[in-house]
Amino acid sequence: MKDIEQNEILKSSGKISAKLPNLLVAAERVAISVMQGVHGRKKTGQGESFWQFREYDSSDSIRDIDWRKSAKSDKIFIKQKEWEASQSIYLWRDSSKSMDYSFGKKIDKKLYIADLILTSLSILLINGGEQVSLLGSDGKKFRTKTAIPELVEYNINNQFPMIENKPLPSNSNIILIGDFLGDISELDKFLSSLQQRQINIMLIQILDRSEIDLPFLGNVDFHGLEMEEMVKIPDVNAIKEQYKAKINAHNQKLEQLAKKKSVSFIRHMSDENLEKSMQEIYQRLSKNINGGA
Amino acid sequence: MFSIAALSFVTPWVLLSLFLLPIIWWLIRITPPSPKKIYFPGINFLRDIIPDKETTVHTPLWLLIFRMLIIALIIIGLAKPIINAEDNFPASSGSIIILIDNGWKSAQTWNARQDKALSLIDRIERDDRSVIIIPTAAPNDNAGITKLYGEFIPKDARLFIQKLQPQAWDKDLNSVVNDVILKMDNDKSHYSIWISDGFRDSNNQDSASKLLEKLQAMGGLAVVSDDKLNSPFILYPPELNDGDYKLKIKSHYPQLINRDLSLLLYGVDGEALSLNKFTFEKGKRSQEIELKLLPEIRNQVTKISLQNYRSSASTILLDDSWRRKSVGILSANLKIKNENYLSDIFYLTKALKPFSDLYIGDIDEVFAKNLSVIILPDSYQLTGFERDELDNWVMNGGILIRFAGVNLSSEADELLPVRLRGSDRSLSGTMTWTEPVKISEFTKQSPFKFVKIPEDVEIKRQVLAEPAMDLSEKTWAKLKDGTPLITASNHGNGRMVLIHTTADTSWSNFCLSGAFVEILKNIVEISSGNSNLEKAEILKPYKILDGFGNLTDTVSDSLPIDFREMDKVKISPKTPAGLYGDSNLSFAINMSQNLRSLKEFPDLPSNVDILEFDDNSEIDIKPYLLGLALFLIIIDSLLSLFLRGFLTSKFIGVLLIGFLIFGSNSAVASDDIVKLATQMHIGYIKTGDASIDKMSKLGLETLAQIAIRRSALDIKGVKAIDPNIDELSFYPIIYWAITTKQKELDEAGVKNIRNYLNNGGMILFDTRDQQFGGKDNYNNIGASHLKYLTRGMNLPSLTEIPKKHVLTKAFYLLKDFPGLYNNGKLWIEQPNSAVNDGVPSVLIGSNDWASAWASDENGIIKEMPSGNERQREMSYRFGINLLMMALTGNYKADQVHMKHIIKRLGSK
Repeated sequence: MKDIEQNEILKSSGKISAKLPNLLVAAERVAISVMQGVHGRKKTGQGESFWQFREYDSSDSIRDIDWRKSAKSDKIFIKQKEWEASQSIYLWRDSSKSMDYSFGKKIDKKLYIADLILTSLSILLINGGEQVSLLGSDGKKFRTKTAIPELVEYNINNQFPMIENKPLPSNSNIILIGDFLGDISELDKFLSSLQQRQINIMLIQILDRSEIDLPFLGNVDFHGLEMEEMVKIPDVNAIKEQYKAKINAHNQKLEQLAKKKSVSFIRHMSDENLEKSMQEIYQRLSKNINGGA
Repeated sequence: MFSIAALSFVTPWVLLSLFLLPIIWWLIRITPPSPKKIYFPGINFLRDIIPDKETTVHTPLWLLIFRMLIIALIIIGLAKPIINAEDNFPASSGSIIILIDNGWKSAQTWNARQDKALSLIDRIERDDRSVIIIPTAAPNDNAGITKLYGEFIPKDARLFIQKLQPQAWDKDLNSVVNDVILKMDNDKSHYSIWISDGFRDSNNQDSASKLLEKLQAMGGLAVVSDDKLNSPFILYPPELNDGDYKLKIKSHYPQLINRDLSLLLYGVDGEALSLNKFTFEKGKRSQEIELKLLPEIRNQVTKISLQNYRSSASTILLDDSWRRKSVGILSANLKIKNENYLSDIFYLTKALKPFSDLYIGDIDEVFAKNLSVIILPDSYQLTGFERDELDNWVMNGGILIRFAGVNLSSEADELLPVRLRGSDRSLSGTMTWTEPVKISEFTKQSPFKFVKIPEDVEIKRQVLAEPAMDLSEKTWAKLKDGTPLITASNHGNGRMVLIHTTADTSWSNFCLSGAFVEILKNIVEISSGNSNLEKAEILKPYKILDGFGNLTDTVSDSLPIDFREMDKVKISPKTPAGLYGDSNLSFAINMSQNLRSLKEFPDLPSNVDILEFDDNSEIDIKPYLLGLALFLIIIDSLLSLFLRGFLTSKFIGVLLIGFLIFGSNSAVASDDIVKLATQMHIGYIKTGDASIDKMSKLGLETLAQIAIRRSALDIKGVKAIDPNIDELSFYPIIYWAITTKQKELDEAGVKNIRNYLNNGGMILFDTRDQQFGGKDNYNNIGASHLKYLTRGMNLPSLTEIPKKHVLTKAFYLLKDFPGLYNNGKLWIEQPNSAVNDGVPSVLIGSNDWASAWASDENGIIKEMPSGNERQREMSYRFGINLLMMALTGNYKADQVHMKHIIKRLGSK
């Protein structure tokens, strides 16, 4: 019995670790193409460059002491570097079951696309000198390129908590990735609570084309991915237009909400070119961060 | 019967159920296929939608029509539709009579005849009439007359026809007229159908016309003629031609196409000995086949029959007289006397060789052979001990033939059928004529009564028998002056025969005549029998042939025959072809030996209906309709799976693969495997280079032929092997010609070879590169490619073959192992008695053996580079030794110690 369990664990962890490099490679490719596409972004510095010397106090790490400077005088100095002033950006993606969906095998699942966006964003941001933190990673911050695999691993292995429960420091940035097909009023409430703390928000909605077009035929029993009650549709064609109207209304509401809250909102359809969407996301983001900072 | 144009239905009332279709339509319509199951994240937006227009769930129209089609097909199929149904037979007050020719001429096409009869019965059944069946050959009972069976209801008639067998003799139409037709009551009229074999009754040419007339008068007649298609093959007894059989096969009409025939030879217990294929050419009426057989096989043949065209006429029984006797000739000094015109051995050898297997040697050598006849020429002088031995041997059932001569006349011994005139007066006992004497006519009691005596045979000297009461009884042949020439007497279980003159030309010219050969043949022939032969002139049937040429024991109703009349026996129900005699001694009577010529069936009167034999115009389409319906049902179930979303591309793939596997591969493969597993094949590895593969194939085939000829090996064939795919365990040895064109094996192939070697297989790697290099050929091109090819196979470490390795003496004694080249070393697995009993599983050499072995119908393929054909012979010997080692392991190596073992046994 135990053997079987262990086996199962080994198997699933194997699957995950096999996925990891793939995701990383894909994300890096996206990140590079975005970097090539974005010109003239003002960087806050190389991150390692000198900022100022400051007198050492007991809260500082010994590693940071600049011995050459200190040797010139009686005081001990530490060298402060530019990046310490960089922004903290929190990332979150919806890990609910409804993300684990695509229509047809040729199109990536929404969850994978969310992961790809999250990872390539992280690469871009870390390259840009920001520090990235995953919501729910217990405040762990990822600052250097070498931390990226760790981030990806964390990303894959952990369920993101529901946003509501997570207190965030004020004046930070948060990027929310999900399908946002749920209740809009709840999202509204949540966004308000964040904005009260001057948190910069960006919404990235990922949708599968079938969720808008409803490309099914005939007699279908629809089952939800999150244990929702089954819906029987005797002839899908007959209700297609009504469904489209309904989902479009929902999306409009979402956009309006974003506008009202002046929250940056981007929709990516899973069959669209991801790199193009990423460029837009990144450009908006740099504007946001720069503006916010 | 209800019919529309060419289509008619046997049970049209079933069609009424077509009216049920609308009800079924409605039923299917309201039970739609189950809904698809789809997981969808946007499910909450689907809730509470009320469609614009009311839609009820129905089966889609196309599916509905599809299913109705299936049901309609089944209903129509069950109504038994027939296209082009034949009309009913003319009405008659009585039954329909089916006459079926079941004499021997019908046996080779019996199945078709049976089928025709069955299809006629089908038609009769539709008509609801009864059937009478008259087989026109008499059954095997003591009445010997034909009979009528029935009347039957069609169902029983069908059973009767299915059980009916052809007989091993001709039909008897006279008996049909006299014993059947004339005895039927005349109240009712009967319509007759005659399934004819296309020939007249050979014993009574006019009877066919007579029968036609009678049947016509009885209520009409149809004849199923096969328009000269039936031309049975007749096999004639073989002629012995220097140990080979020459057989003649005849067909009455020229054959319309090339027929592939095969002769199957059966052994003593009915086991198949050998199969010989040949083609009976188109347009020919007879063909001769020569069968070359090994003596030990030829001596076992009891029956030869034609496969696929089985009948009593295409079967030849060979009785004991066919089996060549083993005859020993006692000879003191082989080398000098054998090729000498003055030697009696020479004349005996010439005379006996055509019909017997000869062994010449001294008494020990001859006794070792288990012979039936021993000939003691005068040139061989017996020692006292040898005489006792020979005496014993004759007492135990042997036959001794002695020749007189100077030695015998000077010193007569006891081992003679008659007493010779006193040995003390031996010289005077030998008479000298001024005029030589001729042989007198054989009496009727003599076993040589059929032998013709040439006029010019003259006897110049003879030994004389002492007059005795039983002398004339013992005399088989006399001279004109009444003195015996050949005397014989029983001695224990055996017999002694004395020829009173010499076997060479010194006393007479008897040994130069044909009579000499005939007489020896006669004596040898009766050797396996016994003295009962002369008395048992009446031979009982022992085993008889059935219509298909099988030997059966059901002989109770057959009559015994007179031995003296054997040649004149006519085949009939009372005296069928078969073996007559008993289990000790039986004589064969074959169908073809007194066969009367076949005569074509008379022209039919104009008022006789003619039915075609292979008349296929009537087509029963029920199975097609039901088959189509079944096919549509399968498609329907696939469709419903598809509609419910279960049918993914993967699933279809699995189905397709399943079909492919079951459809094609299995049957062929398993057939092949059975052959490989039951018959020995040797193999070579397919290299992908066509010329090298061909060379390997020809090489191994030639080697196999030579090995079969020279040894007891029985290799059935040579197979090309792809180790990546094929199972190797069938092959005792595999030849692997190395060429740089061969690609590396894939992993399965490497494993396959490794398994084969680990489990006792043997591979001869031939790098074929000796022309490039000297003694140490390890780095030549072939060798390096070999290293590349065999990576991962775990080949054992190698060593140069030891001088006294078993390979040097497994069959021939060899010093080296030449192929096309001779100077390459042969490397073998390091001998390790713990593994495989020390027999190597890997042999590597570079002498290009296959090229040396190979030959085709035009002879050898590659000249020996050395010009030394002896080397080719040695390479064959190497090949045979190799095969022997592969099959017998180190058996010969053990024998090396034989000398010491015997020595030790002796010292105890």
